[in-house]
Amino acid sequence: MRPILIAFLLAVPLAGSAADTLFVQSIKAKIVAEPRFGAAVIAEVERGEELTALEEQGRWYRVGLGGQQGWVSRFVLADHPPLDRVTVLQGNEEEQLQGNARRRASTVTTAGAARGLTADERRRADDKGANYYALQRLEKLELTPEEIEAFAAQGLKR
Amino acid sequence: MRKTVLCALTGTLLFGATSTSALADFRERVSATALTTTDALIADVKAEIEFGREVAARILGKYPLSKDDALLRYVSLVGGSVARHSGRTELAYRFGVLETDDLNAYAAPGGYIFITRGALALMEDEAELAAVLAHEIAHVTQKHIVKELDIKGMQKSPEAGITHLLGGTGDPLRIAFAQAVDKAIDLLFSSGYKRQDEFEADRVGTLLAAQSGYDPLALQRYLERVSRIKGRQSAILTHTHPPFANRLAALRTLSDEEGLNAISAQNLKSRFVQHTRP
Repeated sequence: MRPILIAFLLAVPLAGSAADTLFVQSIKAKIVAEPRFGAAVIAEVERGEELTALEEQGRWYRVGLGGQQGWVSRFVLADHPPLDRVTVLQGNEEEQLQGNARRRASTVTTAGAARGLTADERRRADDKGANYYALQRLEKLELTPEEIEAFAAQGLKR
Repeated sequence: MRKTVLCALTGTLLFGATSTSALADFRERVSATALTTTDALIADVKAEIEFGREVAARILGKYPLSKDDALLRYVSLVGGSVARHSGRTELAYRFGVLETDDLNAYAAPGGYIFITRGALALMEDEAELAAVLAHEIAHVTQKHIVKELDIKGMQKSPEAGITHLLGGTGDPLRIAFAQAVDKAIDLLFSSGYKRQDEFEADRVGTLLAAQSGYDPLALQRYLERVSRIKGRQSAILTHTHPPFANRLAALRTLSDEEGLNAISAQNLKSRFVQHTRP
């Protein structure tokens, strides 16, 4: 009983004027009936969905979507639309340009990409014991969203 | 105490400022072009990834990366299944296994996550692996190192590039960068995160695992097991983290508040054993 009362007192209604807009960042997010994970699921929304923030309470926002209201974890929301995948590695630049079409081509040119070591990297490898070859091996193991989706679907029910 | 300011160009790094003159010098070289909100966000993320790469390379210099590609792929699939439910899906998360029997896991900014072979050997199911990876992902999503070292992005002029900025052996920017990476490494291997950051990673990670469909009580099970291990294997973990009893108490409170005990979720023991046991 006491936690519920405290939670009620800590609830912060957002300013009475225009409500804030929040955007879903995670691939999916559940809207639940109460501000707790174990609560009944009202709806599921997808990445990029715009929600109206009505109230903030601890780890949760009360949000409106269409005619519905419910609670969403604050950890999957932000006040801006989700960014496209950001990378600093060469080879992904074309994809990145397509994703962030408003950006100038010149801003995509980067250093530290998966390739032969730069002079700085060689120096840091010698001075600091950094292992860029292992790093590049790890970076080459990138999985596609489809592979991850299929793996999750095999074992995880949500 | 001089605070390290770490800045980055869009896509390239700038490391401020062991000296304020270095930072001022840099800023003079930066275009005055106003950033859009999105460009500024992207510049910050790029700075974080560039910095995280260096921290990751240093971690991989300390412990060898496993040569078992099938194991790396499995751990990456589990980590990816969790990360897609996080609040930072703009990052390409990478998951590596470190060949050491120490019990630990590490997160470098930008999404470079590592778990030790020793930690894997102590785990009993996939939910425990997901829970530990979720804790590390939470350090990234909550930007604990990024905030501690004040890593930021900045618009660059088109002609500016990392070679230009970092050219010359005496460039103070490069020295500042190396010092910032040193601080991150010290944080990971010696001094530890702030205690509240560790508790937050436990909370956010547990809820992230739950969101992903994994048993949200798995982190508690794993930490209870680790807490019984004494000696060298758990020395770094014990030194850099709050006491297990405090973390477990906080996790039990979280479970009660969020109703996690009632959630039906997956442990996936057989899949874990199949992929991790020779």
